[in-house]
Amino acid sequence: MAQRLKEVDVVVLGVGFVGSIVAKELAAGGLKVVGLERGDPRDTVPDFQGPYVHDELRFAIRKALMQDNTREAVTFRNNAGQTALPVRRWESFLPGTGLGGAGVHWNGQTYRFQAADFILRSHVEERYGKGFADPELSIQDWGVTYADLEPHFDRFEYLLGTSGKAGNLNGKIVEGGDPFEAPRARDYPTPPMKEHYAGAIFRKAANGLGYHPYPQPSSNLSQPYTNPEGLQLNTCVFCGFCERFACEHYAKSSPQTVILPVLLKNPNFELRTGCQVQRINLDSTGKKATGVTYIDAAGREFEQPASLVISALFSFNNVRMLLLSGIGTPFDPATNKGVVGRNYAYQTMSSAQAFFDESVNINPFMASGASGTMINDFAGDSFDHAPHGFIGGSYIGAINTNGRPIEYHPVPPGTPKWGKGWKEAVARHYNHTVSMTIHGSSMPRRANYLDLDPTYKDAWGQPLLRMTFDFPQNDLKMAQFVTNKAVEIGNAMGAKVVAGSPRKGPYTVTQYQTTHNTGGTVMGADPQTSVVNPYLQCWDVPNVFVIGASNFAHNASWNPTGTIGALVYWAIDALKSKYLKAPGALVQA
Amino acid sequence: MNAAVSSVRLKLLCAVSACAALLLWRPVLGADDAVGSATHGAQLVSICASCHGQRGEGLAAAGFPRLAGQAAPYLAKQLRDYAAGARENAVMDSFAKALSAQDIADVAAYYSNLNAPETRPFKTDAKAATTGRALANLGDARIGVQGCGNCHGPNGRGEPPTLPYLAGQHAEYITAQLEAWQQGMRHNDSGEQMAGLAKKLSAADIAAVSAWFAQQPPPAAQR
Repeated sequence: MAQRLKEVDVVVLGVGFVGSIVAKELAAGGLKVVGLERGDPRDTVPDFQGPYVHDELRFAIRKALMQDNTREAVTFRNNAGQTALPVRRWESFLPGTGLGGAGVHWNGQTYRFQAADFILRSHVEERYGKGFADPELSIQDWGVTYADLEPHFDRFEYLLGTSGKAGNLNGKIVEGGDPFEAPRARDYPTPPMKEHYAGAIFRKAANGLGYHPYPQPSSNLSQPYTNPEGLQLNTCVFCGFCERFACEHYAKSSPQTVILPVLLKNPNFELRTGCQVQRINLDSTGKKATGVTYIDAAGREFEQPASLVISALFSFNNVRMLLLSGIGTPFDPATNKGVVGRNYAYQTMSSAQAFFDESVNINPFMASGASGTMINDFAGDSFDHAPHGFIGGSYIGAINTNGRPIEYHPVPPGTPKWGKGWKEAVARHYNHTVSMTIHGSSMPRRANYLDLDPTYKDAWGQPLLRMTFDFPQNDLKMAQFVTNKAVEIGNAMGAKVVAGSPRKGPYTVTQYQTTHNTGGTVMGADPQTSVVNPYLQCWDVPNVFVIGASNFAHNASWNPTGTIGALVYWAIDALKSKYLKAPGALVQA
Repeated sequence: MNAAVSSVRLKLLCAVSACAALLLWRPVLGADDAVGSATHGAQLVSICASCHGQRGEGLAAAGFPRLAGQAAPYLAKQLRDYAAGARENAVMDSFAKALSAQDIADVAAYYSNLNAPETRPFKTDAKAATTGRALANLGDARIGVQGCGNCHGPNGRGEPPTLPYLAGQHAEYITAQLEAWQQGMRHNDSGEQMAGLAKKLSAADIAAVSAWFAQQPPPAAQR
């Protein structure tokens, strides 16, 4: 029997970037807010300090900061004809856990999606005609425009102190920035990171080919910065331990460095860690949430009543929480009806490696998580797709986030997989290789979706989330096209050998690609094709808001965090200016 | 030597040193690096020895730092920074300006190869020792300061070639330097990290962490 706790105004599920920002804003407005985090509390001091924090085996290989999949995993299959099995070791994607969420171990790559992304179907039909996109793709408009989100992108970047160079200031193209970006009202809060040598030779080659190289926007900072919350960040030291690791230097923007210290001081906020939320509770009408039920680390069950519930979980868990709670109609690919779990998308990751002779010293260990040089010439809406027969695209960058000894050993094609020949090739090429990231969009299709697994359960007896996914032909075509462009850049850089690896199907969960899993609680203006309205409020249960990458109607060419940050502040704006004044549906279905 | 070019390169070296140590990887030196001769350096240091000691052990009471076994690239950069004004000290500025690029490399090579006797001093009170050790190895969450060891190595043993050891360094010198970072008399690190964190430390913090490092055994030369 659950112990019923005193009612609060707001309960926030998950205290990562989204949860801590929402909680901070609402608690500052005087509401009593409880944040429920399943993982442990942790902070820069003492938890992220050296030399422990650079233990590559522990963090990068054994993935110590990730979700414990002996207790809670995801099941996977490529198509509905297969039986899904639990992912027993994270490889393809790495869901985080713990206070601060994935914001602790991310690389800090902080982008805005392009204007065309938010109106994707309208834009593709207008630019290329109605029959252009593959009919299997369930692309749609997001119900929000870039112009709506611009101030919120800005606010998130200034919270983080993101280091970068504007390419489009209020419509004016700025030399040295990304000319394909949507207009921004002001420049980044801090100047770009220093360029490493791989970036410098990439820049030269890309310029020579007529492309538009620019410094990757980085939330590992280029200089000391005090954010609008009054919190100070330090300059990144290029240690090469960002992704999969926490930052010991207060140089990476994370919930711990940019917002949690302010939130945790607010007496209106209470953090509870080790709390596994089982479901959002609904009243007898099924149209109103009454709070949540969770189990704490000691196994005790509690009911936390609340007037407003905000699900701020990783995309998988936002979807699963709604399915477990009976909120919204689950998507059924057989009938193409229902919405929860629909439009799951990923990221189409390819790569190209440029192998140089021994006179070219790359020093790959001299790295930060987002200090690359890159181009958007073949990303998103930057180029004419008409001759190519696909939509979407990829950025190409000499990103070089690390040269860590266990993980990083580039070798050219034809190298033996093990033994003396392999070792010699690793030693020969380690310092003379540029690894290019080709980071591609992922378009949703009817056959790709999330639902509850019929067989496998978590440690608390609840069904696991089941992923059914394979790459659409559209995305594989796109990956091949952009990888060819990256190989051309590698050749122009003067490499002796350039090995392009376009993403091929079928999708596998046993090879690391990225943790940019999106969709499943898609936002939109039409309740027939979306779970939440444009303000991220559940169509079916207006006192539940769902915020995160699960809102994306498709995944664009860029890393998702910047767009998630914009959506958070956009939703907070609606909560404060509309919902709290008159609780109820903000948009009539 | 072109000081500006060298400074940029050293900033990069500074950034990478922690990883380089882990990887046993030597950063590739640029063409403008003078190769130091410890033998020639030995002939230049008689004037240095009057303050820094015959064996580079420094002089605690006067706040003159221990130089023995400190990495040559670090020592050379400090001399160049004194000459350029990025580090202010009335005595050192004039000495540094008088040295050629080759002299600087030679003096740095000389001291980096020395082993000096340990000069571990007094014991501090237990509370200060606890504070000092915590700051050195863990930092302080309340003021947002990370542990010194993240850059200066566990227990302050240094992360050559660019990050100096603090273990066994004189407390008076460490205190004076933290105050110099606070006051802007010293601004020659790669990303203003030292000024930022020194400004968050109280006088008691500085005294405690300086005393704690002074009590640790210094690393041996041969780096």
